[in-house]
Amino acid sequence: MAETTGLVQKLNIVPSVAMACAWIGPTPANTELFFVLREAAEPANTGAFLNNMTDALASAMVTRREVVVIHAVNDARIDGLRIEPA
Amino acid sequence: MAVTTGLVQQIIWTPSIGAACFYVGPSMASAEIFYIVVNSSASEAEIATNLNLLSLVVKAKGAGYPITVSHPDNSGQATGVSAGEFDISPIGQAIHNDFYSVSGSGIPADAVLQFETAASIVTVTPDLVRPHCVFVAELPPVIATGRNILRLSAAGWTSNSIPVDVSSGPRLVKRVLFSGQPKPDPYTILFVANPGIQTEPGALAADVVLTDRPGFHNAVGYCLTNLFAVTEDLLRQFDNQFRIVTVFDNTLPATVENTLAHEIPPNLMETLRNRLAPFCSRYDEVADMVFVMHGSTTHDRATAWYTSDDGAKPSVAYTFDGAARVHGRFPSVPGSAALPLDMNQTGLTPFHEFGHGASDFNNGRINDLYVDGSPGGFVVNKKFRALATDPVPANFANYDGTGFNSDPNRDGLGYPGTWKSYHPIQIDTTRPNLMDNYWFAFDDPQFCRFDQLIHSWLTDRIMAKLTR
Repeated sequence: MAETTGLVQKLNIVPSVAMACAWIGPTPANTELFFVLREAAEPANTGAFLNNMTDALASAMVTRREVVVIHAVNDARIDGLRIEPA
Repeated sequence: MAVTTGLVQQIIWTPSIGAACFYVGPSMASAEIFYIVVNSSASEAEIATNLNLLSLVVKAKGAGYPITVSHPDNSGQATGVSAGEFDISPIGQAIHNDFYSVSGSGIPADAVLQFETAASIVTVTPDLVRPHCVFVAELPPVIATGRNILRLSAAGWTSNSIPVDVSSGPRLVKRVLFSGQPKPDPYTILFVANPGIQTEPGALAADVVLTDRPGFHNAVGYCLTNLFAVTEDLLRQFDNQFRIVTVFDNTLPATVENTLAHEIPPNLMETLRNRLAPFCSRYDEVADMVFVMHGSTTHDRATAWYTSDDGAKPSVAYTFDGAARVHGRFPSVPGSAALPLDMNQTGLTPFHEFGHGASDFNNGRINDLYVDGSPGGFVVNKKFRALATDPVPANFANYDGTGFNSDPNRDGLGYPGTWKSYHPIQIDTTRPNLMDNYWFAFDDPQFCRFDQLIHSWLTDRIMAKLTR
């Protein structure tokens, strides 16, 4: 697993594919694109946390708080999220 | 498919029909209505993601952020919503007397911050402006608390306006000044207010820096200006990729693990380098370089320790005078420097100490040129003649296939008659080397630069870490 840290510069939610895209980086022009994907086969408890994570990304974006997204190496899918105390 | 952008004016939930609608536009009178409908056959994932969309609309309304709604032509059914598109990005909360940074791109050198409320516009001149970020050491308390509209402004240029909420405190323990390249393990520089000092007799004493937060902010501001805004451009090559963090935790007692520096007679302060990585990890940081800021006025001569690269992790090979060497990509012990709050701010102390700290114990040390001796090990920037009367060799070293000449005149300061050491040729041959006694510069010490070899070698070394 890898961790990438930054501000959520933009968030896009597309319900038809049950996906949220998050552009994360230090500036609006220097971001990496990550996504939260809710797959149909996902157990309800896992899915609920994925959706809650999307909410947390939205909160972090509007409060300018840094996030740490946890993802597989060379994979943009967000598997976990951490918001630091600061 | 069409898109509509605007502020969220009103949101209405109607659970009985599984729908919600929201109005988007510059005012309620001119807003367009959009809706989401979740019918009874929708999957759990569809339901939840629609609620995520609605939640984003709610948060955007609360923050005063515009949203962009995707919808079919001639239909108000929202198929997607995005938010957050501005050309600047405030970093962290806006708090009176705390650090504050705003990132962007192509920011003009004369940019200022403007905080606007219905009652006033407060203009703040940043302590440092770089094209990717402006930095304020202490956010002035004259800025109104509560919702402000923030923008950056310069002659002929204005950024987007972005709503920010300003508070009077408390200031944060850990403050991210710039989050760094969006990748795992960005190159990280950390400024920490030192909680404890090991005194010359060996006792542990609380460091007064923790009672002087304004002094800490002032010194960090000076360090940033020194590293990124003096004539030497080494770090400006890639400072838009650095992660820069401060830690000021005045709850910490002067225990062994919190004591990050010790006194050395007669007046030196030195980091306790092996404690730095564990200390940083308590704040979820892995640092490449740690500046330990302290408040001692009796031991206020700065010192630095080289980095120890992690030999078990990847590295970049190079040759030095034909010998195989490596630039490590990861540190096991970060480079470090102990800097006093009362340092003379007309010199280059932070940058000079960075030069030491960013070099490596085993694969290249950068040493002072204002003394003749050497502590040993492989030194990049200093060699020795057999006799002080021998001429300085024309060629200093071959670094990775490129020859670098020697400086025959020691910065024009002249080699004392008994010295055997000699050094690489400078970039600016009219002024002392940044690793030498730059106070002897004929005009302004802050015009001094590294020599050609250090500049090339440190560029490669930092690049090895930036590209890990």
